Amino acid sequence: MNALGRAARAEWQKLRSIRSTWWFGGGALLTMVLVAVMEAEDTASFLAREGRPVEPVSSVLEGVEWVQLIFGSFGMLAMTSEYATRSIVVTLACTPSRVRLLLAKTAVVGAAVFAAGGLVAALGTAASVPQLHSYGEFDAVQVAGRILVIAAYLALIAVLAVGLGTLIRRSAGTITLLFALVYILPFGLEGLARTLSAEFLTTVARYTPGPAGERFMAGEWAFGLVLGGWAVTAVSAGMWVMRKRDA
Amino acid sequence: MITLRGLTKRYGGKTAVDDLTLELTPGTVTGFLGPNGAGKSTTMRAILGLDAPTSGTALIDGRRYADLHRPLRTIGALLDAKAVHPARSGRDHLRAVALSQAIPFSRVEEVLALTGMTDAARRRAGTYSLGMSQRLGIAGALLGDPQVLMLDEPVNGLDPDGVRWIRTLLRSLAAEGRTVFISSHLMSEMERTADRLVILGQGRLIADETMERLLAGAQVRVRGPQLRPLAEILRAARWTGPDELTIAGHTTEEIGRRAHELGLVLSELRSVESSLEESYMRLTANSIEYGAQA
Repeated sequence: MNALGRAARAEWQKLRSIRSTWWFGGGALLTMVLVAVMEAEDTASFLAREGRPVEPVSSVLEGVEWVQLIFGSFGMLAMTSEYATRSIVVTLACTPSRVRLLLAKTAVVGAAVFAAGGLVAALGTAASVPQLHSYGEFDAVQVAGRILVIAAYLALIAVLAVGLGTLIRRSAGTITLLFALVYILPFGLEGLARTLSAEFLTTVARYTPGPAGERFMAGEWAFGLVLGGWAVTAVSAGMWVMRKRDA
Repeated sequence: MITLRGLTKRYGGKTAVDDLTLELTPGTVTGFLGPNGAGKSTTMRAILGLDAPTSGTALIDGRRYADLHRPLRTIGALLDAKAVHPARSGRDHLRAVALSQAIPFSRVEEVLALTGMTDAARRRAGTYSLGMSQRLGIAGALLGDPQVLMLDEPVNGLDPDGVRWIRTLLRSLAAEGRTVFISSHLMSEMERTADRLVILGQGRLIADETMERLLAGAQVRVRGPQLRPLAEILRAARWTGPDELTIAGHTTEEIGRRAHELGLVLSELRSVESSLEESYMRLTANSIEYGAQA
């Protein structure tokens, strides 16, 4: 097995051998099912008045707003916990190439969150089916496609968090920056656009991770690339900083 | 084999390691001594490529750490015993390290047994005592069966049994022809374990001697009725009695000849063994950075 493969296997072993990984997964699942069911109830009562059809995945999108922070924290901790526990010393002794280490971490966190995110979204959809059943149009292929897009979105958020965690090294700062990028930045830019009547800032706001992710999940594939760009930029910046700075 | 050439590391304006040139040879236990802040850990971090040297090189078997293929099979290191995720078990920690080097899990069980950690391997590392963490760290350093071992303060926190165990282990590893490099604050332990001592003070090399020579010290004791002329020409001479001088930095032959030239009668002329602690204190007297103000 090549060096990157070995590093990735080691990273997976590290993730699966701490209990918090499984708590994150369980927490995300519980949150998703709760939010999706509540949202489905709401939607069902609304539809009972309006009589319009709905996709069963829509209630899951509400849950994503919540579970993305859980998966983001998970991705962040894969890096910041190394610095908090100083185990980064051992990790870098095993894999001295910073680029290889970050690629391995990104791949493992991305794949784990893609799988877990897909499962969580699928179960969230399943949980909201009973309420929406009579209003829904169930095209299995379409539903599966949307679940995969949600899984990809969550994986990209987690990878973004890995990159930010590498840049900042500390959990408190990283989670603040992640929160700011996803939730606050678009509002801030739009507010600024109104104040300064600078129309282009509204356009810029559309390309920040939060809104880009929403449009990606709504079916606009190009915005998946925008979000991917954010994730790649964060990880690349992390690599650059890691190579520059002493461990 | 570890080769340091002109190794220098500055943090901001502060020089932690200053132009250090050293060669650590196979078959030897080299002890690394120096006051706190002398640059021992920085040197070890530079060897592992954790900190980039400001100038100079640190090579293991002629290659930089980053260029080693599966590095733990060449050099095993323990820099910080507590640098383990507290929620991960000792066994899982070693398994992750093993996977990164393509080392089979059976070897993990071997080093656990060797370090007496088999029973504790299922427990989370956060519950370990310092001594157990040291054993786990040593297990990690031995995992790749490397030819070079580098341990920072390995006896810290070990009980007397553990201290004896690690002394025997390090001696036998050196006897197998491996390069062993250890730092310690415990002078008496170094005296029993190391063949060679490298002493650092304020980042600079202040001594690099075999244990034999260091213990012999370059101290000579002279006794005689009229030693004043000798004391006047030898600046390193100290009066240690009414008719006794202790002289550092000269051999008995040199001093015997000087005494003869001065026509002095000597009643005693011998080299004196000093304990390692005395030698160490003498050598580092001028370079203790955080020492108490006497």
